[in-house]
Amino acid sequence: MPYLQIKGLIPDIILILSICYTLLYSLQIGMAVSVFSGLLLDALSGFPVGIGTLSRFLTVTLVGILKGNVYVRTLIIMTVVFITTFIKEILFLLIHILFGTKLYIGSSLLLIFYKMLYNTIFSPVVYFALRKVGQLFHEQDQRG
Amino acid sequence: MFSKKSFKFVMILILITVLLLVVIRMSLMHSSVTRGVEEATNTAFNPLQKGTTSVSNYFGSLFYNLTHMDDILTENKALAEENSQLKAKLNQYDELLLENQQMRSMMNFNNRQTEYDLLGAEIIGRDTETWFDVITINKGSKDGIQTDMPVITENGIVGRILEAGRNWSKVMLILDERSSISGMLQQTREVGIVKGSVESSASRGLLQMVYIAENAKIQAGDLVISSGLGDVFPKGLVIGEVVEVEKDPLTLFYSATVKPAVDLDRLEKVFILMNYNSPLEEGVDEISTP
Repeated sequence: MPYLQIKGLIPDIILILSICYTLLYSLQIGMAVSVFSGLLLDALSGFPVGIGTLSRFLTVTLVGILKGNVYVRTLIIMTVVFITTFIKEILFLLIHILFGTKLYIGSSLLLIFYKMLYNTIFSPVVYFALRKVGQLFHEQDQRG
Repeated sequence: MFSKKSFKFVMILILITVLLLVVIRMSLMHSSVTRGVEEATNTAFNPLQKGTTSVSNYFGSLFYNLTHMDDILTENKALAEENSQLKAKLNQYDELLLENQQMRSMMNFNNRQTEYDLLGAEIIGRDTETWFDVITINKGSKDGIQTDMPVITENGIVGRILEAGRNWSKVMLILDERSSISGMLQQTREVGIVKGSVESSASRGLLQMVYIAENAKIQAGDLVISSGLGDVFPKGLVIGEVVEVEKDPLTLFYSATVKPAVDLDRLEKVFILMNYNSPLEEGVDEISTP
């Protein structure tokens, strides 16, 4: 996805997708998406398999537990993505520290902030795409 | 205390978390199971990655061409001029090379291996995490690729092979915080260590050249090349250009911010240097592993 890359940052589509699934459908679907897509992504990337998946899984679970009966709108998705990106990145760092992996944290809070912004800006695209696909399946079901 | 449904949910949550922790541990220990799964996944998804990358590159280029038509025409004109100048220079270079070879043989010098076998590869994947800079290419061990082989483009160093599967390889970019290359200022021949870093978000996408001697003559615009003192990269490959210099008041060493010569955000094709054998047993080029 080089064309989505800005200053080396790429939107975390799996996190956004898992959150959209959790908010639009159910926590179980969100968890399944975060674990299976996450493991696939981790296996295809070049760092310890599972760290990204675990941090996404825990984040999505938190969203699912706290979501209540919220009426999902674009602004809600964007707000949730903004906050959860921070939680996911912090969990990612903590899990790395737990396993003794060296990471230069330095002033990377600003880097996390950029990622939060990028994910937030990108989240409506994923949300609308997911809703459109859902509508198409729904229409097909009704015709069938 | 817990309803049956909540208890089941908590148990599933704990089970998945524990399983993922085990997977992480096994992966960090380079277990054969996780290595096998990784190999199988990469091999299975290789065609899909190639396909999606080709489609995305096609549409990306199309969009870029449409939105930058004026720039492209101007650039094209400039490149045509540059091309004719370079052709003239190449002719001169060929002449000099010939002359040099004749002189070397006359003086009974052993010709050093100065040309390398290059293997072209395409980028088929890129990691999405904030903290690492790793890409996946479509060539692997069956093409002769091995760990730590240098990866370059016509503009300079890209990184090194981190891991080689059968028909895919992971390349750690020079921007990765684990990367460390022995570099040298082309003009003054001052050496230093060029490190990838995410330490400063403001300098995201830039490198840090450290341990440059206090009496070194260094300024913005200086070209940084590989020194050949490491065991991965041969001497003379372009790393980047100095954009900022500062002196550490404690150590008295200079450190410089270096802009990579290669646009690592827009990489599509790379070359792997196949037959570089370091003359050194152990060098400076390192990967700082966990």
